[in-house]
Amino acid sequence: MQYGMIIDLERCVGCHACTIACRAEWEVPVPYQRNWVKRLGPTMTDDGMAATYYPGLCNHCDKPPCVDECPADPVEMTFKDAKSGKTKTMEVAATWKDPFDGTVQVDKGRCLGCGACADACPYGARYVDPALADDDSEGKVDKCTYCKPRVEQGLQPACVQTCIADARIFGDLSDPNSEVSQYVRKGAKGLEVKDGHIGPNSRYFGNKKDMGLLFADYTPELADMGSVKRRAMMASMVKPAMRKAKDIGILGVAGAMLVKTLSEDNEKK
Amino acid sequence: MSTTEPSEDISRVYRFLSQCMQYPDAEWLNHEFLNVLYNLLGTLGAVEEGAAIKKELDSAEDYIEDLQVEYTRLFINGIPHVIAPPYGSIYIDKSLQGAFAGDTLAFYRDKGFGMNDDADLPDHLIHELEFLSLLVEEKDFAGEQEFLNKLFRPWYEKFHSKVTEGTHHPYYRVVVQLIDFLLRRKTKMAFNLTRRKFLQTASLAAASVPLSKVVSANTGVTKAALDTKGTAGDKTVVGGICEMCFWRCQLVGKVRDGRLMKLEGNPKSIDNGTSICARGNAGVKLLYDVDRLKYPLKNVGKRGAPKWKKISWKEALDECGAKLKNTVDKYGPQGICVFPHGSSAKYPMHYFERAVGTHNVSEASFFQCRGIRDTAYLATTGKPPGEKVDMANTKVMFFIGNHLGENVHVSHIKQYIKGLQNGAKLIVADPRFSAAAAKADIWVQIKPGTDTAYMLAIMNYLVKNNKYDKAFVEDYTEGFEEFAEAIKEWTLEKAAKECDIPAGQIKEVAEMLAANAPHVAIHPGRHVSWYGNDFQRQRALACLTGILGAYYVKGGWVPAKGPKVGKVSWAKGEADHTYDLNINHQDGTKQYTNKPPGTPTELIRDCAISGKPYPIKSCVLWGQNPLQTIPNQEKMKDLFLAMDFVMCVDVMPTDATAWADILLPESSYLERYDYIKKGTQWDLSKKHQQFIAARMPLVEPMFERKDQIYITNEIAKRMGNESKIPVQTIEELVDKSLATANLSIEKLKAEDGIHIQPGKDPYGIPEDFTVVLYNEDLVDDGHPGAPTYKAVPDNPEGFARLLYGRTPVHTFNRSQNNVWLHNAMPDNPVWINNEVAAKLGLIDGDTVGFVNSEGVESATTTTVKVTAGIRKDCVYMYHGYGSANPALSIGHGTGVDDQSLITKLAVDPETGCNGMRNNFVKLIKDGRVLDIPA
Ligand code: SF4
Ligand code: SF4
Ligand code: SF4
Repeated sequence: MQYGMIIDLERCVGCHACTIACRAEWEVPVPYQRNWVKRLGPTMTDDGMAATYYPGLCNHCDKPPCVDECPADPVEMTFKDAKSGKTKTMEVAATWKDPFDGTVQVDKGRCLGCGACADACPYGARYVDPALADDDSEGKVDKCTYCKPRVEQGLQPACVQTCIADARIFGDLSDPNSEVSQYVRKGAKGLEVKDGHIGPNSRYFGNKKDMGLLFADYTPELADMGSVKRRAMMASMVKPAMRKAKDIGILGVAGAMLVKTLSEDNEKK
Repeated sequence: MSTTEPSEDISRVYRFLSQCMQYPDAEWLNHEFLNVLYNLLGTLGAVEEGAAIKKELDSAEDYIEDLQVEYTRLFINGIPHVIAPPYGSIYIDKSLQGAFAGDTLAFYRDKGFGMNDDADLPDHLIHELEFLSLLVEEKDFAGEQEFLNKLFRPWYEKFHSKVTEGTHHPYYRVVVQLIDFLLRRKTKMAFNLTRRKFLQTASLAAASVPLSKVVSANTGVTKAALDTKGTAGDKTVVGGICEMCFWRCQLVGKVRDGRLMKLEGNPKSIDNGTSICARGNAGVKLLYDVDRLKYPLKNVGKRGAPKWKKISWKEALDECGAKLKNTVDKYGPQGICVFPHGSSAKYPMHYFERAVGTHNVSEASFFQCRGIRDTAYLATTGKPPGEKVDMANTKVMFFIGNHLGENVHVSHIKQYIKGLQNGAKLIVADPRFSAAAAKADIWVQIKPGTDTAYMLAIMNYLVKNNKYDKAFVEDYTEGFEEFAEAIKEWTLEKAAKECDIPAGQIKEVAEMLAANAPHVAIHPGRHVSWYGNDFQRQRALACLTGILGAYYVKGGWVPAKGPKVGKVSWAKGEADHTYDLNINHQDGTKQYTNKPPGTPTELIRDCAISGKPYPIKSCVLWGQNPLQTIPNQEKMKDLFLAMDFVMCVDVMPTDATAWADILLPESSYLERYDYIKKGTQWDLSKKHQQFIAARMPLVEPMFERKDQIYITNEIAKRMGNESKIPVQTIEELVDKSLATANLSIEKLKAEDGIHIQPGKDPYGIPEDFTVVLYNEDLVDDGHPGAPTYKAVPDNPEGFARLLYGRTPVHTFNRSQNNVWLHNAMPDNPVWINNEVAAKLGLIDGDTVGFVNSEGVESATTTTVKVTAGIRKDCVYMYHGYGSANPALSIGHGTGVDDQSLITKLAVDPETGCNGMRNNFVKLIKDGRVLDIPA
C-alpha cells in the first residue's frame, strides 16, 4: 500500500482552508507549516495568460532523501499492516518510511533537531521547531504525516476534510481502483526532482496551462547532499549515530559489524 | 524582627505581590497599602523608587484613575496594543489559552488546586502568584521551585521587560521589579538588600492581604506530549454557526478541557458539509485573540486618542443609558445615528429604529455593498436576487467583477466548481486576471466602469439578431419595445471602443449566451458599490437575465425554496417620516428613490456634521468599523467629533473603536446563542431538502463579554423603554423564533444542531413573475426607464485607478488581527501591469506607498506584484489591510488600507449608495512620487 494525495488544480480555488485546518488540527505554530498554498501568476505563458496554485505538502516519497540523512541512533521498530495484520521489524533512525502504508514519519522523542532531513527534502516539507528543544536536541522536526492518526481512525486528513472545492483526494495509489489511481491514469503527476527520481506521492492534476506553470516554477532540484551530510555529521558527533558510521567512515570494527547488520536487514526486505 | 516562619513570610509576599497586580481600586489601593509599599521599598534601600511612585500619585488629580488607565493599557486593551498581557501562554504559545495555560492548570490540579468560577485564565500572573503562595504555605518548596522553573520564569522575564519598557507609571515598573527580585535565583538588582531581608519586610506588608481566586479542588493531570494529539479524540460540540463572514456555515467545535481546539463543518450540514474556508477554520484564533475586548472600557482621553479605563458593566450601562436618553430628551430620537453590522447588530438596530424611533441607521452591507443590487433587481423583478444563481447546473456562467476563489463562501464555491466540472463555460469581465478569470473560457479585460455599456451591447446584439428568448419576453416581461429602442445605439463597435475590448469578443460572448440560454447563470454580484453608476449596471444584469429567459430555470437565477422561520424582535411602530433625511420636506419627494433600508450614509454624515436640518448628537457603532467601510475617513472622524456621545459594541478593537467614549465587549459567534440559519441543499438538482440551524455556543464566554440582548435590554431599561422589551434573554429569542417552525434549542441539540426536512422543487416560473425591462416608475422619478450607461470620470494624467477586492483569507477588515490568517497572507501587494512597472523601474517585491489624486497619502507601504494580468490604467489590492489602530498587535500597519485612499465620494443617484472605485493613485517609492504612464 502507498498512500498518496491528488490535488486537482481544476478544482482548487487557492482558498487556504487546507493550510489553516492543518494548523488547527496539529497545533502547528506560526510561522511554520506542514502544508502551504502558493499563488502562481498571473503571467503570460506559451499557452496564454495563466494563474494557478501550488498547494504543497510532504510527498511521502518512494525514495525519501530525508530519511537517509537522519543521524539519530537507529532502533528496532515493528510495523504492522492495519489490513492484514502482518508485521515487519526494521532498524530505523528518528524518521522512516512506513513499510506498509508508505507514509514517511518522525519520532520526535528521538529527533535531534539537527535539521539534516529538512535540508535534504527538496520540497521544504519539514521544519525544526526550536521551541521543542530539550537537553538532547536543538528542537524537533515536524512535517505532514498524511494525518496518520486520523486516517487510522477512518477519518480523512484534515486538509482533505475541509477542502471547499473537493480538490484534495486521498487514497491508496497501489490500489488500481482507488480514485487517486484513476487520477494518475488521467495524468496526475508528482513534482519529481529535476535531476533524479525520488517518487513523490502527492500529485497534481490540471489543464496543460496550469500544470505547465506549476512544473515550470516548482520543479525542485535535489539538495546539495554534501552540506546536508556535514550537518548530519555534526549532530552525530554530539549524539553518536552508529547508523551513519558507514558513510562517515570513522568507526572501525564496530562500524563494520553494524554495516553488516544493516545490509542483512536490507536483504530481508 | 519577624516572628513568623520563613514559609509564612514567603507565602505572604507572594500574596502581597499578587494583590499589587490586581486591578486598582480605592478599596484596597489606599494610603495604608501604599505606606506599606513605601516602607518596604525604604527598607530595601529603594527610597528613590518609593519617592517616584509617591510623587506620581500625589501629583495626580485622581491617582486611582491614572493607575486604572495604566493597568488597562498595559494588561487589558491598550493603545498602542496591550503592552504586556499578563498570561504565560501569550509568551510561550503566542496565544491566549494556549497549551501553556492547560499545563498551568494541570499543575494546579496535580497539587490539588483548581480555579474558582470567577477566576481569570489559569496562567494569569495573579493566579500564578496566588498559587505559589499556597504552595509555600503548604511548605511544598520543591513544588514551588518546579512551578517557578517550568511555568513562571519561562515567561515572566519577557513580561517583565515589556512592562519595564512600556509603562508610563513608576508603580508598575517597581512592582514588576519586586516580583522579579523575589524570583531570581541569585540576587543582583538595583535594590541593595538581600532576599532574606526583603522577605521579612514584605511579609509585614502582606499580612492583611486576602487570598481570593485559587482554591482547593482536584482532578487528574495531563502532560503535554511532544506530538500534538490531533482533535479526533476531542469532544464534539454541535450547534456552531460561523460568522467569520455572513455566509454562516454550520459548524461543530472540537473541545479539549474547555478549550476550543478546532472548528469543522458540521457533518450533518447539507450546505457546507464538512468543509469550512480558511477564515472559518481560523475562528479559533479570533476567540482567543489577546487583543480582543474583554471588559467594558471608558475613554478618559480623547476620541481618536483614547485612554481606556476598565469599568464595571453597571457603570458602563448607566453611562450609555443616561447619555443616549439625554440626546433623545434634548434633540429627539433622530438625534441618534447607528452604524450596525452583523447578526448581533440586528436586535439593537431594531431597538433604535423601532422603539427609540430614529431613521438614521446606515448599514455598510447596504450602502457600501449590496444595497444597489437589491433595489435594482427590486425595480426589475420585484425581488432582491441574493447570489441565487444555479451555477451547479448551468451551461454558462457570466461574471462581472465576481472573483470567486478570492471571494469565498463555501456552498457558493461548491456550486461554482460543480458547474465547471460539469463543463459549464465561464465568462469573466474584470480589468484583472482574477482567480475566476484564471478558470474562465473568456476573459473580458474590460475598462473599469464601463460594464453597463458592455451589457447594453450584448443585449442590443441579442435583440437585433433575434437571439433573445421571445417566448419568455412575451409572457414575463414588460416594456420590451421601449427597452429595445433605448439601447439600440449600443452597437458592438461603440461598446468595443467604450470598454476597450474587441468587438468580436463581445459578439462571441453574446453568441455563447444565446446558444446556451436559458441555462445561463448571470451572476448578480454582491459588493457592487463601485462607480456611482451602479444601479444601472445592476438593472442591466437583471434585464440581460430576462431577455435570455434565465429566471427560475435550471442553471439560471433560481431562488431555492427554504423553510419558513418567524423572526422575533422589537415591535414596529407607526411609520413617521418627519425626520427622515431622505424626504424633501418642501414637496414630500424622496431624495433617493431606490435606496435600500436605512438612511443613505452621506445624508446622515452631512446632517451630523453640519447640524442641519437638525442635530444628531449620539452615535452608536455596533459591529461596524465605518472607518474602513465608508469612504472618506476624515469625514467620518468629523462626525465622531461632532457627537456628544459615541458608544461602540464589538468583539475586537477596530479603527473605529478608538473613537468611542464607551466601548463594550461582545461575546463572539462562538460563545453565544444567536442567528437562525436556514436554507436548502446546495445543489438544486439534488434531492430537495431544507434545513434549520440555530447558532449555539461552542464554549463559554471568557472575561466579561456579554451578548447583544443583554446589552440592548439594559440600555433600553435606562432609556425608559423597559415595557417594550420583547425578550429577556437571547435563548428566549432563539427559542421563540424556532417555535414558529415547531422547533426549540433542545430539539435542535438532539438533532446534532441541524434540523432537516423535505424540500420543494425550486424550478418553474411563478405566474405573477414579471421582469420590467423598461420601468415607468423610474421614469416618473426622473431616472432612465431602460438600463443606461453613464461614463465615469477618467484617470487624471499620471494616475492609475485604484481597484480593490477580496482575499480568501479575510472578511472585509474584520479579520486583520487573526494570526493564522495574517500569516497566510501578511500583506496586500499592489498589482501593477508589467509594462507599466518596467517603465517605472519597479520589480516584484519593491516596497511602495501611495498618494491619491486628492493628495492623501497612505500611512503605510506594501509590496509590488508585477503581472501581465492587469490593465495598464489601474492598480489593484486586497481590501482589509493596514489597520490604523495600534490596539491590533498583528493587523496594525501591515499592508496598505485601500479605504484610506478612497476619499473622493461618488453617490449613486438612484440609491444614495457610495461608489468607491473612482479614486486614482500614484505610487511612491523611496520618497519619490511615480507618474503612471498613460
Ligand atoms: S517530501 Fe520531503 S519530507 Fe516528504 S518524504 Fe519527500 S523528501 Fe521526505
Ligand atoms: S482547501 Fe482545497 S480549494 Fe482551498 S486551497 Fe486548499 S486545496 Fe485549494
Ligand atoms: S464561507 Fe467561510 S467564513 Fe463564511 S461562513 Fe462559511 S466557513 Fe465561515
